Amino acid sequence: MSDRGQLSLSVVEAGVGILFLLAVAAGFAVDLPSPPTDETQLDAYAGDAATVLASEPPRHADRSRLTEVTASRAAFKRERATLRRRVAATLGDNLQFRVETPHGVVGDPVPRATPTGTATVPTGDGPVVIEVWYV
Amino acid sequence: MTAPFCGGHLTTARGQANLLAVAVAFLLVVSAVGAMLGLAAAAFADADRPATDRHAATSATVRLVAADGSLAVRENVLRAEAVDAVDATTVVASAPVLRDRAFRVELDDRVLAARGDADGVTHRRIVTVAETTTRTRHVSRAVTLPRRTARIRFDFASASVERVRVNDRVVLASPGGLRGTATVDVSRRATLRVTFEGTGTVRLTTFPTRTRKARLEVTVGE
Repeated sequence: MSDRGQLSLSVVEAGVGILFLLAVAAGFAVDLPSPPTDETQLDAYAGDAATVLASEPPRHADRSRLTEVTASRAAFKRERATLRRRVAATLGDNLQFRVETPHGVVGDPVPRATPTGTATVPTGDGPVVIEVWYV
Repeated sequence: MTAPFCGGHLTTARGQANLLAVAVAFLLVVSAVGAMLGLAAAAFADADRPATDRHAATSATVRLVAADGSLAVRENVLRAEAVDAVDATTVVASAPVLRDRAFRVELDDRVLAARGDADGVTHRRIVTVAETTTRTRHVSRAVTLPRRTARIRFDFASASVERVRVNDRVVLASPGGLRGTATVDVSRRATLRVTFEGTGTVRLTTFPTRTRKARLEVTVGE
């Protein structure tokens, strides 16, 4: 009886306390949620693609390739394939993209559960939205 | 049921045992707290380093491609001569965030500048590298320039021309005929048609840029 009494409450309390501490520590040891790093890079890619398109000379007339494709529906239809090739060449092989212009869309459908980067460029005819994601 | 909770000598014995137990418990708890603090500090340091590295890499690339940076002509357009001349000092001057860090700046796998052992976060940007070229042609009456240029140089040595128009706007004029050479700043944003009023051939020099796509990478270390 006296032996049981000596397995004292203090040690039991300490044990419970240590369990508590370990539970908290386990939270650190497992992992901290990592910040969304892919999006930063993808946003940079999308913004760069927009800047490059906006500063590139057009194929026919107008100020730049971007204003050329947003000028009219006919111009967009004419330039659609070239625009696709240019954006693909700009972004490289490991990225897929979708460019939304006021007159139509170029590129692949945006996947649902994938991080994407977005850039919006205002033009005289409406915004052009470029979305980029890893293949 | 008198003993063990009410007995006189048992009470003293338990009191002694409790003191020891409290000491042991205290030791256990303190060492557990110490171990946990160490673990937490390490976890925070681990989480912190990529974040600051990422910030350094990201803002360094922003500075390097910025229009007012020492490398760039315009936003995302780097000057080829500046890219060839760049070294660690000029990189740090453009991007002070790299001052006390190891870093490596690459353009399409070619290392432009490096300092120390950079093994941390990498950030990439898409840029164009522009190289200014000169093209000279001899024109007698009119020409549409196939490639865009920021300025045009005219040489009127073998011509007698009174007026020069660019896209129907008069840019040079002299009633007795233009002499020597003249340079005119024109729009880089428009397709240009140059016409001359007069006779002879004018030597016309344009400065179109040749561009190529490239990927600018900045990797940082501690």
